[in-house]
Amino acid sequence: MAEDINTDVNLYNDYEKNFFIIDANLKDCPDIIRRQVILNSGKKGCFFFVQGLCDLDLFQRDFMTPLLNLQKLDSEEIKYLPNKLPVAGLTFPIVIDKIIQDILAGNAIFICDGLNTGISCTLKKYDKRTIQEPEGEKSVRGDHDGFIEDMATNIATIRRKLKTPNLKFKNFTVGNISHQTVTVAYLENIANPNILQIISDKITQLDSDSFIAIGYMEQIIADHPNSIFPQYLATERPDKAVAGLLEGRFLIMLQETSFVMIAPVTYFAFTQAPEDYSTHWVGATYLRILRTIATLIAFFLPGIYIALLSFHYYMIPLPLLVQLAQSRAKVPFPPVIEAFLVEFMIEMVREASIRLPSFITSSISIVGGLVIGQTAIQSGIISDLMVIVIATSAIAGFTMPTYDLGISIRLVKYAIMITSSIFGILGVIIPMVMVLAHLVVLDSLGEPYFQPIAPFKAADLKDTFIKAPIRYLKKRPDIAKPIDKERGKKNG
Amino acid sequence: MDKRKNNITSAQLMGLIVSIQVGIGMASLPSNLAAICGHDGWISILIYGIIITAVIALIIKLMNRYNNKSIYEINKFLYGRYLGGLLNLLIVLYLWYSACLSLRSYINYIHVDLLRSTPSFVLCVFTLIPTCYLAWYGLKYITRFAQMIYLSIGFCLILFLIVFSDLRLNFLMPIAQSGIEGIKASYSPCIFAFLGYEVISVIYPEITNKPKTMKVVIGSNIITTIFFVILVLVTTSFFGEEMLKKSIYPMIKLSRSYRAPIIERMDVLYIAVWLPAMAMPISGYFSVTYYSIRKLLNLKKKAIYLIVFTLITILLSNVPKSISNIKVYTNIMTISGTIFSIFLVICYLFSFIRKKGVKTHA
Repeated sequence: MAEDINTDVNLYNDYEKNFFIIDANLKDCPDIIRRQVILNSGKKGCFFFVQGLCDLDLFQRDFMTPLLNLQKLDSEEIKYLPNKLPVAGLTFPIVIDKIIQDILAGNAIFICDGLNTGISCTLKKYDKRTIQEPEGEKSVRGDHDGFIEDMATNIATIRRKLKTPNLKFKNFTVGNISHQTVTVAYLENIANPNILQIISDKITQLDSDSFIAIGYMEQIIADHPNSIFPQYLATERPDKAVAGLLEGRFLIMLQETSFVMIAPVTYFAFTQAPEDYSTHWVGATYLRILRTIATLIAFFLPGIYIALLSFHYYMIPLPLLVQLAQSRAKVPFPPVIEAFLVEFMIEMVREASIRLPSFITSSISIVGGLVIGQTAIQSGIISDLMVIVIATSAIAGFTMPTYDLGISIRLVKYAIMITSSIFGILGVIIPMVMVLAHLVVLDSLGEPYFQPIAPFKAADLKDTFIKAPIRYLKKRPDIAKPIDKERGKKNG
Repeated sequence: MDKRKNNITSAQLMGLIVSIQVGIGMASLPSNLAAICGHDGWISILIYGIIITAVIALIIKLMNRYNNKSIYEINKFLYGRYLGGLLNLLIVLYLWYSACLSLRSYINYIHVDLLRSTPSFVLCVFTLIPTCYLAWYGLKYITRFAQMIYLSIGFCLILFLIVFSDLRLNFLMPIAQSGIEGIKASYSPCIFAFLGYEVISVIYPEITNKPKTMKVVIGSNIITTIFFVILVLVTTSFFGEEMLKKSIYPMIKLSRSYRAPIIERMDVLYIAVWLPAMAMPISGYFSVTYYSIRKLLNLKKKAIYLIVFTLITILLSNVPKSISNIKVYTNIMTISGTIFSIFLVICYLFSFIRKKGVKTHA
């Protein structure tokens, strides 16, 4: 068995033994090619590489041929080897375990007789997706590039946008089986080292087989794993990521995933879209206020409506009350049941249309939205005002630029709908206070989550509900506790 | 980690004190004052506000004499272990009593204005959920939350502006008709409205910026005083003395009397903004009591303690049965709050005689 062989040892002088150990370890892996050769000097040797991860043309031209043509290859000669092999990445691992890791990572490895070190060469080439705009985060005036599954490309994308030596990447390896790389990116002269320490501690404590998506990691390293509110901002947009870096935040990138996480963030980071910053400040402020009102509607409108209908009908204006009574007269259910019927239908249409091909989606929305909605009103199961209220709150929920927050809003909305049917307006207020209390308690990497409001930071307010002109946003937000608080060069 | 959860910055301290003071007095202060000294309530509030400011200054001087100590430790220094322990017990009981009473008056308020037939026990459980949640995490979060009081105060002031054209200043004339007697007699509602500053003696060790404490607490008292004066002025000149005497909660009536265009009734909105503000004394007293109990008995952070504490609070707050009953209990709270304040001042004087534990370099 492969597990029985101790691989955590240096290469032996005996080539056959080395080959046997590596070969036994990589048993039943037909994708790993073992190319045994005899060198010009008469020594035996073997190339290892993974089919599909290695650029075969380069391998043959620049690695295999020069090695085969060498007149002499021993521990003395190996010092001059970097001059003779025209390849970029060349290392000489001596531990067998490291050699196996290199092979699996896609390097081409050569071991030979009489040499107690391997020769490892980075010749990676594999298929990757082209850069495209992320489907989930469309933007009108923002850039249209996105992160892809290849971390090297993502890092290059960020580097292209921030040409500074202060842009640092700190690597960690996670996953006992998958051996993935997690990279934390930050700007050294801006980002706070204490927060970097917190992130590093959290990542090094991770213990899992593999992280299939960055969401797995997010749930483990979150400060409050049981909170329904997202505490890290996951994005596929490089412009968001770069803006985060410039505010002193950290990017957590995971190999083979296209999402990166921005941390620490506040609640309000989830309500901001990148084009807020590229449009004129009046327009951006208008959009921000629109979104704030939409959030309030999404949270509270159904709850308030149910409370008014069930308990405080005397607070509804008289002309509306007559209309309301007429439309409610046919309905046999209490308002809360009615609301949940509509809500449930909308949720089902939404959930069904996410995963279906787009040509079916349109027919689903016609059947779900128009046919069922219209006939449900006509048959007297639900009142038309209720459909308006629930649909308004659902549409208001869609204005959120991030998907994660949408789920939190919906869950809170349901809770409010239930309590408001029991306690009236008090059933709206107490959950509201509860949500506020929860937001106040939350931390993102030890920094207060609900920041510019509580604890109150007047300076950060101008980039929260409104967006002040760019020239007034000279200070970086306080949430990431940046070392360098001012943007731009100070005069003198 | 647990230690840091109780840290309070100066701005948060200000919010906490203002929220406890304003929340508890806002609902019934104008009508209580009107019943005692007619239309001159605002003068009494102003004068008592100044007196209380002096008391606060003395309390903070007492705290400053000791190095990072709360009243519980100071008591042990001053009066020895047994007498000090007894006094500490009384203080905790007072705080607990205040928490229960503010919860009960809050529930009563909901009974009168919103839900007439829901059992008060159910309402107690429901309204205590956020408070419990915050208390579990520590004082830091209570105080962070308490800053929301400014939002409610802002909304109140907007309402005052809206009804400004309906105010009749004649109702305030002649000024100072009730005289010194009226001011003396209005002692009880005024002190009750201002109560809340005394928690500073308990939470003092958790304040991060101690040199600023004096400024901050006096500042919060000034905010409260100004707000109360405006409140009493507006309600008196809106309703008039006689009408005000008959209403229990004039603020709600004020918001109901205003007719907004199109949507007609705005009071839901104002109730929505006030209800959290009025619940803040509950969360303030509740968490301070819980904090004191944990500190005195050296309890670990365990859910069971908080649950037991909450249950007892709910049971106790259901003891008063009617509004007049609540008034009796309120009087007891006013008296014990006064005694507590006087006691703190006495402690300050006594600390000059018995100098054990006093900060040397101060």
